[in-house]
Amino acid sequence: MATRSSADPDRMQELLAGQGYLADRGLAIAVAVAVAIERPLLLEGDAGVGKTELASALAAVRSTELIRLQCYEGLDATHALYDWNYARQMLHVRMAEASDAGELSVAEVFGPDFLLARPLLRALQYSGEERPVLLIDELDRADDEFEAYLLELLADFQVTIPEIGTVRAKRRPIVVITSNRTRELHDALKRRCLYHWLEHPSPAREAEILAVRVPGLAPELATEATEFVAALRDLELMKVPGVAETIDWVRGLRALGRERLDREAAADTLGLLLKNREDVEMVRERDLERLVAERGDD
Amino acid sequence: MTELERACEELAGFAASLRRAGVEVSYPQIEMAAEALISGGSGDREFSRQALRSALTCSPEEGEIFDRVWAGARPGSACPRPPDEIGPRSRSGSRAAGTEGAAATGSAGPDDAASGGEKAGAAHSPRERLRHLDFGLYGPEEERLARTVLRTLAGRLPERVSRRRRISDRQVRLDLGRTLRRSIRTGGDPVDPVWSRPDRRPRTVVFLVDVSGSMQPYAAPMLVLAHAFSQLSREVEVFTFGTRLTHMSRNALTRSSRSAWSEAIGHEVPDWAGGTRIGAALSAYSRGWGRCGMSRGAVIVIFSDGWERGSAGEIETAMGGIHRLARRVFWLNPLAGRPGYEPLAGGMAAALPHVDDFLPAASIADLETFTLELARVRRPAPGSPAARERPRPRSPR
Repeated sequence: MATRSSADPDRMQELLAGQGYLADRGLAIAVAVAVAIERPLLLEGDAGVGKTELASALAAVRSTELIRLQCYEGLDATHALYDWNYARQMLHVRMAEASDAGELSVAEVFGPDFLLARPLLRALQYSGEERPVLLIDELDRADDEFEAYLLELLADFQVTIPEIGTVRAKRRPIVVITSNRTRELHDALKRRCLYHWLEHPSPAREAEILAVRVPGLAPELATEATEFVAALRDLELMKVPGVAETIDWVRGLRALGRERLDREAAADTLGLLLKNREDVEMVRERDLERLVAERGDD
Repeated sequence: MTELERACEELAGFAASLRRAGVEVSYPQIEMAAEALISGGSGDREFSRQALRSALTCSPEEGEIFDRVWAGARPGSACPRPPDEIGPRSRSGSRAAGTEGAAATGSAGPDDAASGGEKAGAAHSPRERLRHLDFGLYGPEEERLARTVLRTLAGRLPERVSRRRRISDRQVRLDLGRTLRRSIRTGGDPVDPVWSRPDRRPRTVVFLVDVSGSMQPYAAPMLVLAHAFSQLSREVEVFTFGTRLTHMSRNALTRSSRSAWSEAIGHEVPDWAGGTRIGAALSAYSRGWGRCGMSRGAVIVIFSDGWERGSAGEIETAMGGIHRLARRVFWLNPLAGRPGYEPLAGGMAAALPHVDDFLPAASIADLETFTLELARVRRPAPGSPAARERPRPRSPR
């Protein structure tokens, strides 16, 4: 397999930052290489660390379309690849009968007019100049059967639709697969991809992200907030807050006019950060004092 | 040798080092790694490291092994043996500690177990004797026979309703797509409707097996059983813990279960000087896998004697978290069947309120009882958090 282009991770990091996505060097290298050697990129990590957002940012950087396939249990070829618009076909047949328009050919009834192209087929049929970004989101939510199907597709990037023929991708899409690791993906699939595990960002990095996403944020509040969240992530929570939650929380704090993080502010706004009643209660009772005290406030 | 050939050899050598350290690198991955390196041109060392890491590993655990191998040697040159490989093999010390542990919880020693383990008046066929024989009394012949029997014990997995639908005769819901497709034969009239009903698939079962010194030789048969279950379906996950938690991949599990009885299990160093840090291991499981979704609606099977070196509070918190997410929590304890045993030791007592089914696991008969209970898991245990959250059943149509 010939290498199409060379990987420039520094440039990739810059371009992603330009889109508001701050990637660390390891991720930038993985992305740049995946794009250069035309292999799928598998991103695993907790919910909310920015896997989906990377695909969006990447599509924006490449000025191309983002084609998104959201996976769920029971997802099959009908929902992922294509389906026939049966109702329309029925109507077409009836109308032809009613108007005595003569013999209908199978090719007419099973033609492109009646084909509903779902994300995977759209990615294959994409006719733009740039390679599209195909995001297969939360693949761990789909089941084994779908993974096997996907494996085949990723190998050849072509599908055969019995009524139409073989559809081949003009240019290989840039494939980004994300997984929350609720279950282990098939070995065969994982080993066909370039892999990167995304951690929650460090407090310093998260503060940088906040600076981009929440303009006008006071640096002291950013530091206090991110250190608070980092400490929170170490607790036995049922649902660990991700970057999106941090951003919402900080926006909430500002909306309430808080410029510093004190115990009261934290207690009032915990619901923006923790999306689970038991987590909120646990933090309120046990740890709030300690966490805020450690941040050096009253 | 050209530059390219030398580079290829280095890469192949590095991949071999990774394999020796436990990362199952496949050949296509090495190809991918080569392409990745070429794409970077004369990238710096950091680029090479990250690019190889992305291509050759596919989990954070493998990533850690990669980091160690990379740090330990320049790629290609003779790689020093990573510290985590097969530890010292010792069985005798662990047996002694097992006795100590039993005594500490106030139960009878293994001698009493021997007489209690064989049911008085039971059928005298060798098979029956084997079924009730305590694992601690096994010799090589018993191990060989038991291995076969245990494999057959893995029968059915608990099931749950899945989101897929399958064709059925019962008229539950119309499968519109298939009905219309079939109707094309009859000129567009849906004469012959196709029905579907929700499909069923195996419920996730997670085994958390304590393989520390105090648990041998009980852990070995448990691993053989867990391996047998894992062959049934991909929804079965197996973890071992002793000094730390390890997720067993399919291949590792096969290797482990083959050698389980006669060697130390995997690379865990039998920690027979003291107990295990059960609470820490369970927390690590929850944090790394359970909370992310593996525990949700799953059946969790913990196999341990509950002899905890850490604090009881740690076990309590960890078990509480697990119990909230899981459908059913089993705790298998090899000491539980012994006459006079009561779960009074701090660790076991702390965990018990969060356990739905507390079962003994000292003989084949015990494990057989467990597999029957496992297959029967459908409704959440009464009073458990899963039961409280259950929606009210729909009224029959």
